[in-house]
Amino acid sequence: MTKILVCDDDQGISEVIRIMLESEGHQVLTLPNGKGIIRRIQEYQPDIFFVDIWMPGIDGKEIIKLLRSDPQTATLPIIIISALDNIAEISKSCGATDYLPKPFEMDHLFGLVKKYS
Amino acid sequence: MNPIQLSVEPSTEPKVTKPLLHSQERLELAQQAGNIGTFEWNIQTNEVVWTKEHETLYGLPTGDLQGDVQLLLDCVHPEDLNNLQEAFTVSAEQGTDLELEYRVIWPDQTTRFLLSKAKVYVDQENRPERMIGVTMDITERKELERRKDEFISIASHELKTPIASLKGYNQILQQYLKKNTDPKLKEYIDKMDGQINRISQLVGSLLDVSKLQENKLELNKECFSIDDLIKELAEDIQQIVDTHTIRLALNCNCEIEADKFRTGQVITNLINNAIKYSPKAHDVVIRSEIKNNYVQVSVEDFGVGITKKYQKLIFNRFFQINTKIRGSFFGLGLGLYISSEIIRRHGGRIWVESVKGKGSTFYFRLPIKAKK
Repeated sequence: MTKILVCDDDQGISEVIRIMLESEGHQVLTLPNGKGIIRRIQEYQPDIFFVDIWMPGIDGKEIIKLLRSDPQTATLPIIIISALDNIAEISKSCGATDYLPKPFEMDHLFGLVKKYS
Repeated sequence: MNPIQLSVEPSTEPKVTKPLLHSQERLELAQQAGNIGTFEWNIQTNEVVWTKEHETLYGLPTGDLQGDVQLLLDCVHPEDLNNLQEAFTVSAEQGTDLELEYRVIWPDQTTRFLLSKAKVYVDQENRPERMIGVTMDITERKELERRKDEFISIASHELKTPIASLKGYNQILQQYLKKNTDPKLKEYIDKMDGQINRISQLVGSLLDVSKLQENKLELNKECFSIDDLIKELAEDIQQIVDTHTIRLALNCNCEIEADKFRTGQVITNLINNAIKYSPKAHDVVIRSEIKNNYVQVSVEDFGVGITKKYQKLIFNRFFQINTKIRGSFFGLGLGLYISSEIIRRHGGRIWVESVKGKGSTFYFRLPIKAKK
């Protein structure tokens, strides 16, 4: 079992990811935005963190910046989720570990979780 | 003495020049209203004269600045300067028409887009002598184009998010129904997944077009076997198509250096078109062979065919042939435009040979070694 945190303002995507991963026996927490994200991560202690790049309020890039500057989360596997076309570039430039483009195949999601567990 | 004659004589001159004057006035008015500047460059003496509108367009103070080309060149955006000088030189040397878009920077640091069009006139010995042209400000048009492209880009992004959820829920359903024994249920869910992939591809096409327009389509070149790629894609399509048999005659046996994903997109587009436009036929034939430094791939169908006059047009953006059976052919009319741009950007060529009512063969050539 892997502990996974998903942060996306699109509730459809969050729910889809949660149902898929729970069906594989993982534990999933979803958050609709980045409010108090650092505290939530410290409490939940996820093994993998999925985060949307475009969100109202604090966005994905800022969250990653905060996490990477904290020694406790500097090496946390962070996977960005986005429908943006240049997601690969963004992933590299903002310090994410990997990326999941929208729309995605379920096996792709499972593959990423397996890789970073 | 005839009094009428007397009164006629002195008025002869104004009668001739009045229309000329009027014509001159009309021209000036048109130039002012349209904000169009004209210029004349004597290629042999390198002298240039221009109208005062030209100064306005370049952001120069209007005044006695005639003849100094450097004044104009200093206003041109540094990134466009080389291109501009080359275009003028080529046009002057070869006597060809000039049509060029470029940017100038005004003294207040705003950037304006200009369009110059010119013709070259030759002297008695057929040497290029003068270039006469017009320049106009196209900044507003450029801005509208930019906003349109940005809109398509944002719209496709916004459309992709609900499609992603839809696809996700459908895949969850597929998982749930794995244990269900009713074959109809599985069939319908699979069909739904197929339709979701189709809408996803259509949105992808719109995004590709906006990237092509903004010149942002990047090629990630790698080495791969073109025959293996064709085989792989043909098998994928064959799995969901039972009306046609895709036959392969592949003889390349070599690796090419190209963008694998984009090349695959072209092959898929051509196979899907072949199937779509041959509803009464049952075969599609794909061939590959090496031609000097190129690989040549062809996709042949035995369908409706394309008349000669449409054979070039079908590679244009949004173009679709209007036929009575048009209603049965869906699509945005973007596939071949995107394919031709992908091939062109690789330094290759795409074309079609077709006989109306007999079928079409689409060809493309890609360089084996990528051009730098």
